[in-house]
Amino acid sequence: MKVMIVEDEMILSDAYSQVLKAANMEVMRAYNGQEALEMLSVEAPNVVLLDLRMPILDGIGFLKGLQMSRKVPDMKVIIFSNYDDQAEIDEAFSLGARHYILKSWASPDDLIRVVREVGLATQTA
Amino acid sequence: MNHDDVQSNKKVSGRVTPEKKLSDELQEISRTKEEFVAIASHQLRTPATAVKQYLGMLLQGYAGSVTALQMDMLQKAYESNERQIDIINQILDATRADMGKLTINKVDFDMCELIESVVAEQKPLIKSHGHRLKSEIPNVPIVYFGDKGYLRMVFENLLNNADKYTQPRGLISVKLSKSAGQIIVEVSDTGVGIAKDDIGKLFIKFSRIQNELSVKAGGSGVGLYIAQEIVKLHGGDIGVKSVLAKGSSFEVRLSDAKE
Repeated sequence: MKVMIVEDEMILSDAYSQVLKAANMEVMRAYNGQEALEMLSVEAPNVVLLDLRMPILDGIGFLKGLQMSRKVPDMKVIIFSNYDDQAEIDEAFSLGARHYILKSWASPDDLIRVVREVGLATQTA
Repeated sequence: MNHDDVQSNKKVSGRVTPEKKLSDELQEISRTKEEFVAIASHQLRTPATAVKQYLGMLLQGYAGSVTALQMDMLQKAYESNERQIDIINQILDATRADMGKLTINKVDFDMCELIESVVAEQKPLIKSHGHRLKSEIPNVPIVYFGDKGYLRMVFENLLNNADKYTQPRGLISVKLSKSAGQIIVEVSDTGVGIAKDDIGKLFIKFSRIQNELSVKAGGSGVGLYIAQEIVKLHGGDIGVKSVLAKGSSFEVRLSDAKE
């Protein structure tokens, strides 16, 4: 499974990358929403692990860009954030996000489990 | 109306009244507080998140095997970090409750299953303190329409307090019942008890009742405040009975009418 980590905090991006690689997943890394959209135009992951608050283009901006580009329909996006603002989370779901995880809740095993569950979930009509 | 009257009316319309100015200032304070909560939640949680990931990886052997002593030290550090995360979450929830921004998401769920789950989760810690743990949960489901996650926090808090404020080898009981349109969850202990004059202070933010176990108990001082706010949002209340040196009983009463 290929996972794109979109996270501006280097220390967290490093940690998630190590966790996912240890679970035999391929990892792509972007540090803001703009970079993530540019990378997606070249290569599509199975799952995107998306932070919400980032410089240049934030998580909501990325989701809007993803919707408009239509390059990767039905991309599986997991919102992974330490902001638990309900309005923001609702907006992310309305823009196609599949799951929300509060970063400070997730242990390495939790992260792997959720990524696998979302990544393996089949599309419903 | 002449030209001067029109000019005069224009001036009156454009003037900010003291009441409007106060209202604007209060709204600004509220916005600032809300923004602080958002930023603090992120800034406080981020380093704790990094610690959780790296300690978690070490504990789970991602960097190779660790000795028993190293495992013990890492486990203590991990648990301490988890407590820090809990305290941050509690303080943020308390601030949201203060601002009337604590939102609950109601779904139908089985209260018996929830209480069983909370008891099972807390059992190892309670038993490790030498306490006996008794639970009375009906065999038939009790369906309740509420925020399962937040109510779980309430019952975890009550059980955790019962454990913290009971000397070793005490008795902690959890009873779930339904009667006369109410669902009642009672958490009792044979602990230090609470003086009659202190019962009113229990649900005040950052209030800590002093007793022989309060220093060791630690905590943020907002657990019961948040618990009460959550129960109130469900239209319920929390009753307390206690006798010093004998123990306490906290009763969460929720209406079973779907609203």
